[in-house]
Formats: sequence, structure tokens, C-alpha cells
Amino acid sequence: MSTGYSFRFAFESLKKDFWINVIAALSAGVGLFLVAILSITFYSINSVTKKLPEKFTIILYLKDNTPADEINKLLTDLKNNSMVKSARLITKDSALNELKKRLKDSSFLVEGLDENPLPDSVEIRLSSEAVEKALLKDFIKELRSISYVDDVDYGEELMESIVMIKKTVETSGIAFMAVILTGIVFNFYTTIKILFYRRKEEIETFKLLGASGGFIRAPFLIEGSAIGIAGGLVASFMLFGLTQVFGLLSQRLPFIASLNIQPYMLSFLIILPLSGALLGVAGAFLSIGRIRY
Amino acid sequence: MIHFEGVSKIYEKQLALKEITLSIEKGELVFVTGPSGAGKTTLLKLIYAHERPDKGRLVVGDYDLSVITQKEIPLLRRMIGIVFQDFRLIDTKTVFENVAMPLRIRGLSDRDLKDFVFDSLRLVNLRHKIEAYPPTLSGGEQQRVAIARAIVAEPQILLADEPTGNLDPENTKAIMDIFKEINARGTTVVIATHNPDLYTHSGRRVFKLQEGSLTGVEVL
Repeated sequence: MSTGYSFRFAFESLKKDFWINVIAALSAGVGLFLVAILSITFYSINSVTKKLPEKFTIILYLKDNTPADEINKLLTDLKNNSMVKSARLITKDSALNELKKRLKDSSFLVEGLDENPLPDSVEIRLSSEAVEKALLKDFIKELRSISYVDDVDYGEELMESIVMIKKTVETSGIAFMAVILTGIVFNFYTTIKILFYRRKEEIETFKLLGASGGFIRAPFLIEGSAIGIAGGLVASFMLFGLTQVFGLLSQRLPFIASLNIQPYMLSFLIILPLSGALLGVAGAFLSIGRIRY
Repeated sequence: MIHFEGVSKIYEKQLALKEITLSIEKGELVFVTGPSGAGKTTLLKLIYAHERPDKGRLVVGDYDLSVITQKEIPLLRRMIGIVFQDFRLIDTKTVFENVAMPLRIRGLSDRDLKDFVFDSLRLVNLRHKIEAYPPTLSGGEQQRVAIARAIVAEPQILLADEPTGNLDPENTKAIMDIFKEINARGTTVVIATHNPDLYTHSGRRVFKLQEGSLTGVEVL
């Protein structure tokens, strides 16, 4: 097959049906931009929630008279656990002192106590990987099963709510992305169908002269990928504008700066034209279907 | 080269060709004649697999067209040059591009196909029209472009459907001379025509069709 000819045929067609192609590229561009935005949103949610477990503290309340060597063993075990970032023993005396500090002027409330009612406890901070709900639950269950652990306290409900919100956003976002991507492929499908039908006579002649399916298909696949790349560039251009806005916002809002999403956004400037090309080829391929003689 | 064995073709319950049996040998030049609607075009369409036989067996070269696959059809067509009754030239392409098309389909590059195209156009005396577009040409010129395109890839078989339908006697003779020259190079030529001037005194076999049936074969 003459590749040069296929390219020439494709670009002649792009020029000939210029406005159809421009509209197809713009629609694909908007679709790809939306997909990029959704993806960036997921990334941001992920960055925020990834560090969430570090902010959660699990407190293990130990039973009275737990032997010191058992406590030390527990601390060593916890420190060796990959889910645990840090584990610190808070003795009942230091807990009482802490309470007194917090109560400040109302510290008299604990002054009159005959003995310290607070138990020894262990403060556990989780590492980022522990965000998996199932893993966390297993871990808590494991802690509860220790004979000298009286109770375990952690922000279970809040944690579960956040995980659920994250999952809902992700699931609906992925569904929305799938719809947009299908729409983009359909956009290419119909555009190439129109272009194909416009050249139907010509293609019939090619077939009668002995053209193979590949010879007939190639220009349309090239055309599909070219429209896709153009759409991807439109999306990249829009996204680049958005990165500039984010850059300005980051200077004023530390929260946005902490998300550190700009490098991720910039990677889309290359991904978008490539995805456009791929979707364009897929749309064109589906559109032409089998060449029948 | 081309063998029909009891081939029939039916269009919407109407018999277009009825149990045709004929053989055309390699290197022959033959005519298929008969009035309009006799089945001449259908017979040619069967040879280049534009239509499939409903009955019988048709063999063209190494291909049995009753069982030919979709992938084989382009290969079959590459061994055949066709001059269509309606020319089938691409109006948006120059004469050069139209004639070059069969070579591009075979994968020849711009550089490799040039000489073939020029030779072919020289043969039909249209070398000076390479940059023209088909709509700017006369009927006779378009006919000759169609012939140039049909012969450019040096096919084993040349099919021509009413190739002189739009031509004056002078051009008709010129076209027939071209067909004879191509045939002399070893190409099997099948010409469908209702013009008796073409085959009378030609010394070639003439297949006579009447309402889809082969009514006779004569050397005229």
C-alpha cells in the first residue's frame, strides 16, 4: 500500500470537508477536556484522602495491671507493623497530667481523686497505606482481640463516611467518563461515516480497480486520528489555561498548593492528543466496518 | 482464461443470464454482442466479481468465482482492467491521478508509477492532458482516459463495456487499434458492444446474446 498516498488522500479530505472536521475536533476537544478535569478531580481527592489515615489516631486503652513486658512487646509489634506509622505509650500518670493541662482552670475537678482513674494507653498513628477500609477494620479487630486491651477508640464513622464519599465520587465519575468517552468515539464514528459516504462513488471505483480493504480504510483511519489529535490539542490548550489559573490560585490559597496537582495536569497536555488520536482511530475503524465487495 | 459453465444470473426473479456456457482462451480478443438488455454488462460484471452467479460455475484465471472469498476479490480484480460503460472516472482527480490509481492500489510509489502512466496516456494520445480534470474533457477523451487506466497496470484480462459508445468513427477506429495492440501484447480482451462495425470483418469470435441466452458464437 502506498502510505504517502493514504496520507495525501486523508489530508485532501480534511481540507475538503474542513468545517465538518473542525466541528468534530472541537466537540472531541470539549469531551476530552471534561475527561481530563474528572481525572484531575479524582487525583485531587486521592491526594487529600491518601494522607487521611495519618490524621487519625487509634487509642488502645489497656487493662489495669498490664505487665510492663507485655506493653513493651505490644509496642514493638506495632512498630513492626507496616500499617503503623508510630506507636507511643501514654502512661496513666502522663494521661492525668495531660488532662490537668487541658482542663486548666477547672483542674480542681481531678484534684480530689484518691487514685488516678485513667488507664495506660497506646496512641497509634497510621501510615497512608492503611486507608483501605477493609484493612483498617481487620487491624482494629486484631487490636480488640488482644487480651489486655480494654477498648479501642478511633474515628470509625468519620473515616467510613469519607471512604464512602470517595468511592461514590469515583464510581459516578468513572461512569460519567465512560459516557463522555463513548460520546467522543460516536462523534468520530459519525464524522467518518459522513466523510465515507461523501466519497462513496470514489470508493466504489477503488474497489472495482482492485483496492484492498486496507487501502480503502487507511485514509479514514489517518483522518480519524488527525481529527482526534486536533481535538486533543484543543483540550490541551484549555487545560493549559486552567493550569495557569491554578498557578495563580496556588499563590493565594495554600490548600491548592498542597494538592500539588500542576505536574499531573501538565502531563495531560501530552496524554490528551494521544488519547484523541486513539479514540479517532477507534471511531473511524468502527465507522468503516468491513469492506464488502 | 475465462470459463462459464451453465452460469445463470437472476435479478429480482428476472433472469438476466440463462445457463451460459462459453470459454475464452488466454490471449484471445472476443466480442460479446446483442441488443440493450441482452445481458452483456451482466456477463462482464460476473467476470470481475461485481455480481455472483446464482447457478453454474465461473472460473477466471485461477479463481473459481462461485467460491471466491472477499479477500480474493481485490486480487482477482488486479488481474483485470475494466473500461466501464460510464467510465467511472474520479472528477476531483486529474487525468494523471485517475490513470495512476490502479498502480497506487498495487502499492507503487509516485516515482515508480510515472513512466507507466505516461506510456499509457501516450498510447491513447492524451499525454498532453495529464493535468486536466475529467469534467473538462470531451466524451471521447474521457473514454480514452478510462482505457488508459484499464491498461496501465498491464492486466491479464481487459474488459470493455461499450468502449466506443460515445465516439465518432475516427476515434472508434483509434480505440479499436489500441485494443488490438494490447491484445497483441498477450492480454485477453473481451469487448461488449452492440456496434456491428466493431466486430464485422474482425476475424474474431463473437458471442451473441439475446434476452440473457447465448444464441450463437461466430467468427466474423
